[in-house]
Amino acid sequence: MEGGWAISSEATSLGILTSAAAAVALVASYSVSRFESVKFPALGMSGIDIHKPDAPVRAEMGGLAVLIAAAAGSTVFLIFRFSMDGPTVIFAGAAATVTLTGVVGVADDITGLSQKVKPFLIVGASIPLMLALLGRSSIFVPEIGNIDFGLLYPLVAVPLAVTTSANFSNLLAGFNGLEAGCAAISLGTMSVLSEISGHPLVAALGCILTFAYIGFLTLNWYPSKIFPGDTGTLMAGAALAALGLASGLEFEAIILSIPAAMDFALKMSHRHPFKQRHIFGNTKVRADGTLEPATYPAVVHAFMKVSPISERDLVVSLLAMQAMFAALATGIMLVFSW
Amino acid sequence: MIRQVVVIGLSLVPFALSSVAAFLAWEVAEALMTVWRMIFVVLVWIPAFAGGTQIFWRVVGLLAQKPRA
Repeated sequence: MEGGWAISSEATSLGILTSAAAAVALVASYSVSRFESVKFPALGMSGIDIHKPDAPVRAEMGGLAVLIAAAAGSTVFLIFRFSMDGPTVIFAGAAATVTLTGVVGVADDITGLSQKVKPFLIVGASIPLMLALLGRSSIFVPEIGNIDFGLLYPLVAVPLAVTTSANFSNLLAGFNGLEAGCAAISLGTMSVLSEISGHPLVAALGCILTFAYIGFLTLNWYPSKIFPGDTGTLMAGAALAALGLASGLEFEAIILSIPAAMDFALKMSHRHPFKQRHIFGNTKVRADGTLEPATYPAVVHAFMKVSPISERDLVVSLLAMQAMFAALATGIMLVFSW
Repeated sequence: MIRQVVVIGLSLVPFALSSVAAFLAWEVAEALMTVWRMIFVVLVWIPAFAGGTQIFWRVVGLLAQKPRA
């Protein structure tokens, strides 16, 4: 009875601390996003919303708000639960990797980093997580079981996963609310699955990141006042990979990456890989507000091709697709873990 | 609306196709050591996923509405 009470009390205090850290992240993200949406255009950190008939100028690099919120929420959590035990070290390693990737995103937004340099910087950002997961060596694959990779897991699989996921999430982007919405769904799902699979600290980090993206989404939703920039997109992908690796739910994280992976595969299989926008131009807006797709393959163009669709409805459809893969990941985890 | 739902459903094709291919590859490569077997699975999974996305895109092309004047 006493033991049961002790576990329950520990879980309750962790729940309260997670809620407090997530609240800090939500408030910080919303406040900083609001500040940026007003100040950044005046400072020249702005972009044109090309999917509106009047092409308004909006603040760029809004992901900085998510970065500040994630750092603030994680710091609050670690101050009140500082320890050198394994789960806390993994929490700190994952949080450090996500925030360092955000810093790479800031550098990219300001200086326009070369595509050859960026992956190496993200590999560098994944070092804290590599160190935290040095003792881990296997990946669980449903129907197959645990596959032991030895030292290849922390030294190769971790940086590869973080870099790939960060770059994937940079692709399926460019519409009001899409990046932050997908991030909130994916990270929220990973947070719930981490809790179910017995990784409460990873779930806490997922919760902090989810609320950081939700705070930003309130100003990024259609009609957007602020764009996430590479800071927001790179961090979303890195966060998904970090949560999947930290909780040992790599397969579920892969399922959540499928919409972005499909976009990558479609663009990669084209005869001008990743140069399509320069050659074929951008999506155009018709007089009635519906979108006219460019003529190259992309997931967003698939929705525009089948029927006339506005930007808002396009984003809702893409978020529904992301939610379907979230449900699939949840179902697979529940079926194969019990 | 229905067409959007169909596209969402079609997005399962690459996952389904690549999952079946990967599982079969795992069974076929029984003689290999675990890590090499996994690498073999990944080498089968990638083209199967790419093939699945092509099927997705072709079917979307069949559903596509003609451009309006």
